Amino acid sequence: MIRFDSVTKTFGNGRSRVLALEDLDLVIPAGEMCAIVGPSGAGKSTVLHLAAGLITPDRGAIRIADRELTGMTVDELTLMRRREVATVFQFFNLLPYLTAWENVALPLRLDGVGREEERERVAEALDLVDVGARAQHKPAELSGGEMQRVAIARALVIEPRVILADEPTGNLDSTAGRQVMDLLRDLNDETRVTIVIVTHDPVWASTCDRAVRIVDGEIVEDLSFREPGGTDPPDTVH
Amino acid sequence: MRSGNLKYAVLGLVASQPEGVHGYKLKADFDALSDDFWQVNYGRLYRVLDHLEQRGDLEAVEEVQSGRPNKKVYRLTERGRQSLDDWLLQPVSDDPQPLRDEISLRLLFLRDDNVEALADLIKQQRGIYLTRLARIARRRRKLEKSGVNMKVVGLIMDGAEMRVRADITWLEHIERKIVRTF
Repeated sequence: MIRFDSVTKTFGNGRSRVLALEDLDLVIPAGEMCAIVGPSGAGKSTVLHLAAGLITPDRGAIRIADRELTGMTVDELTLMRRREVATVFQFFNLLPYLTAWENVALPLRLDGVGREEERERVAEALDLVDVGARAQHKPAELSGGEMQRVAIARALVIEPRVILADEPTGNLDSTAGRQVMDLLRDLNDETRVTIVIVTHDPVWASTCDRAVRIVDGEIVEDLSFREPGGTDPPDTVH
Repeated sequence: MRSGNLKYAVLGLVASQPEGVHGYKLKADFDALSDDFWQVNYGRLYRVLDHLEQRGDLEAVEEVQSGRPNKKVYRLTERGRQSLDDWLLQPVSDDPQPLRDEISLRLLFLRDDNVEALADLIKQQRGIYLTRLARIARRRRKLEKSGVNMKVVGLIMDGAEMRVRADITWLEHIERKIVRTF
């Protein structure tokens, strides 16, 4: 579960101070696939960066899986990102001089996972996103859709509790975008990993279980798309 | 859906099943393909089937079922094939689309004191459209998983999605231009 309690975040200071989020309350139950939508500059990405512990709030508390982020040290936050909370970005953020395989293996190597286990987990992650055949290619030799799927494999390989995706389809055409969204949807359906996706596209938002709309740092709309009578995910697993 | 076009949608669906199809299955196919975009109830569907049979576009054969009432199986006739081809080749109607009635009307009567009501309406409408998109997304995934050939069905769904997305874009445009600055 991800929980924001009265979170306020500003950027800059003095006259250039910008209020990104104001007293934001948000609960995303474990196992939910939630879209954060809204115009650009509304604070969508700020929510994601706060949840990933990449930035800290001015006020308020953020909890992931019942652990308070605001009290964690930098090392604890790094460890959390290495083992529990994975991020996927619009521009993939793959290392250009590493192959797809090596990019996916990176978080495991940083975490000191043994080579044999690494081989198994990387192969599985690449197969899951259907780019196993491109494992030895470098990012420049891959299409945008393939790069994003490698980035998702890198997220999956740590077997995260939460995947945070910032405009994961923003740099893809509609066909590749749909493949990426289908992949995330399947992952959530099959493994119930919590997924939060920032997107400005209503079509992609509507493939999620829920869409939270943020305008000027505040939640102005919270829509559930769950089918009546559909199976709800358990909300207290983690 | 306009009743003129419904006739051809039914002909097209029957044509896609050369072995013949009964009304119940046809209704299910129709729903799988269109759901809330082209609503058609059994009564209307059977009236269209009767009409097409009388015109000679379809032929119906009674199939005997043990323990259950007989069912009518429809097949496309040569004449039906011709009607369908004629329709497919005819230029697309250039009737203007109706305005998005209520919102357009309110825009015409917009004043300082009713901007808020318009904002509420837009919010509500966006919710309805997003829910509709979610329904299309679920249906698409269900069809994909059922092994249906998505080549054509996918294009129809793309069209439905693009129309809803355009409507949402328009609502957000109104919001930016008017509601937040009025």
